Amino acid sequence: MTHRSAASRSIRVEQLARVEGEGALHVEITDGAVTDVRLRIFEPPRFFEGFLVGRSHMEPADITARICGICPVAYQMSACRAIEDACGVPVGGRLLDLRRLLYCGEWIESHTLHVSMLHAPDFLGVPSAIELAELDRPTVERALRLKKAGNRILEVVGGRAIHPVNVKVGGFHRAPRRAELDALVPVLTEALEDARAIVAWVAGFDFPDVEMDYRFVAADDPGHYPVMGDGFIVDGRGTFPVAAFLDEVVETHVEHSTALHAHLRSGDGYLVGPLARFALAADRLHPLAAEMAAAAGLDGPVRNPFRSVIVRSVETVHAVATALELIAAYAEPTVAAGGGRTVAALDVPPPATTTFGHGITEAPRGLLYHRYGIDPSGSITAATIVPPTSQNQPTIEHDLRHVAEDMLAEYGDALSDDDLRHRCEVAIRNHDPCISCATHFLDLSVERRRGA
Amino acid sequence: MTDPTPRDHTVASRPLVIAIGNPFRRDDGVGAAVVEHLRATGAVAYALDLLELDGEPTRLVDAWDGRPHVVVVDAVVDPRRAPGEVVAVRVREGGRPTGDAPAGGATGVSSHSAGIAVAVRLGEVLGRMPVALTVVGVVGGDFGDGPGLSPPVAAAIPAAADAVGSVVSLTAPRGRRRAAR
Repeated sequence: MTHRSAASRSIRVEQLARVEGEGALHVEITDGAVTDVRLRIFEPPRFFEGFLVGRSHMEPADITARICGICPVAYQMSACRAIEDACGVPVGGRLLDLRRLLYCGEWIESHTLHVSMLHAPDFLGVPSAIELAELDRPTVERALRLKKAGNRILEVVGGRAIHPVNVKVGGFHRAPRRAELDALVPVLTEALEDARAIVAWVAGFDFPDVEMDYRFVAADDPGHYPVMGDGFIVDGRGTFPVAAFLDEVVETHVEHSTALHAHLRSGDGYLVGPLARFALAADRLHPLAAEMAAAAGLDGPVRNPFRSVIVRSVETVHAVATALELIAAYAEPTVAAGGGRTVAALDVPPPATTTFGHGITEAPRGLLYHRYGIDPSGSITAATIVPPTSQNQPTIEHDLRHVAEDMLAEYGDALSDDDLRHRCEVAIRNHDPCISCATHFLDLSVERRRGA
Repeated sequence: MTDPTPRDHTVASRPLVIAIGNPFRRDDGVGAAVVEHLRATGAVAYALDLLELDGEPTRLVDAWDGRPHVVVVDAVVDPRRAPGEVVAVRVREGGRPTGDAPAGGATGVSSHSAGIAVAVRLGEVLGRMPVALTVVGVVGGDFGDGPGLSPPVAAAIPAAADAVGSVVSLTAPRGRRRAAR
């Protein structure tokens, strides 16, 4: 192809990049009442479960990072913890602190992207961050600056920002030097001010008066706001060990989606993510984040999904402040490796007999569970991944049904598909679901029927 | 699977080739495969910076901001074209939009939605664009789960790499091109 013909103006490319149409919503209305709401979400983890079987137990940290461009650290951390659990090699101390620092980077990036670029436009009456940038450029510049600070943590600790390569089972390929982390301090100090300003900004939005009856589930991270799960907390039922996750949570195939839907054993839907973490562990927020939460008027569990934008921004302050503390306390995590050498990872040999291990960590959008069976040769015999979105999906459908019913009550037959689509998109955005890195838009179908 | 090293994006004055896509979604991995091809051929790799991204718009804007010449390689969904067809769109030349913009890219309902079109619009509004930007697309046919390209798309890698090479070599300084050989 020559350069000139390649630049022909007649070319019209229908759809660039990612695969279209994998997030779809079907709403069925019979005689003016909502009779069915089905959200179809493509879930890449299902493919990876099969793909991992037969591979070495050292591989999932790299492979699962490919599941998601937005939350690779979450996949790496839950995978590593599950494998280390199966092999009986818990990773703690300085290595765990370094993992927490890496995770802060991901929370900062993911939350900032969602809060300022995707969710805020809903409250400001603009279609997207592009129009927001036209109206209020400093606000978008602030978000990009803050997001980049999170990016810097991923680069320094994770080796690179996209699909970090420095994470391994047992720890890290290489520990960052003290000076490399010190260089992050001015960036994060500015980021802290940006993060605080964003809380104040979003707290001033107008929120619809909605109160949902959520059942919250979050990781139990003793002494910490939930990130690494030593167990998990089910609102109203108590705290359970990580290994009991699939006893308490039941996954079922649903016909309309490649995703599995998760329910509690009781059959109830539940919610993971910022609202759950805040409801179950607000007392463990960094003091600077707690202060911002109070100033933003958050007092106790938040059950209005629209106000999740405030909770995410409070969690961003928590992540930045925690990162600064972890850096201040940092000492290189070195492990003796024989011959006078030191490395930044524990040796994690396979178990003596085939053993299952479990790992829970808190992705920005909620609890992420991994389970692996590992045989004595180090080969993976089984893999189960329960991502936050499959756990939230029944609850999101419940929210959507509410939205559709409210709109039908308000507009009746005059309700247009466009208006319904917009309100449904907003309702989905409240939960920042992982509609896979492969989805461009919500494909809405409305079926209007007459009863017999 | 490609594994760009930090030196891949350290020299901001050099042309930058950005691969977009997910190698675990079959033909969506063609961008990474083209970058791999460019890297393997060696000659261009010394004159270009290569970077692999997932397509998240703000990362694209950060990556290309202020660069003299950027080429983005991505898979294309276009039912009117055959899988493996290579198309190129010059989005910017001489610091100005050409008027040709990639289509698609609604802003989406989650932070996981992605698109070059959104990145271009956002970058233009914020004044964070490269001087010249070309999008080289390879029409994909199979976006199912798993690694590996479909045969027509795999066969198109050299043509896509040629399209990249011809576009960036136009603006690469002579001395640098000579150094690349």
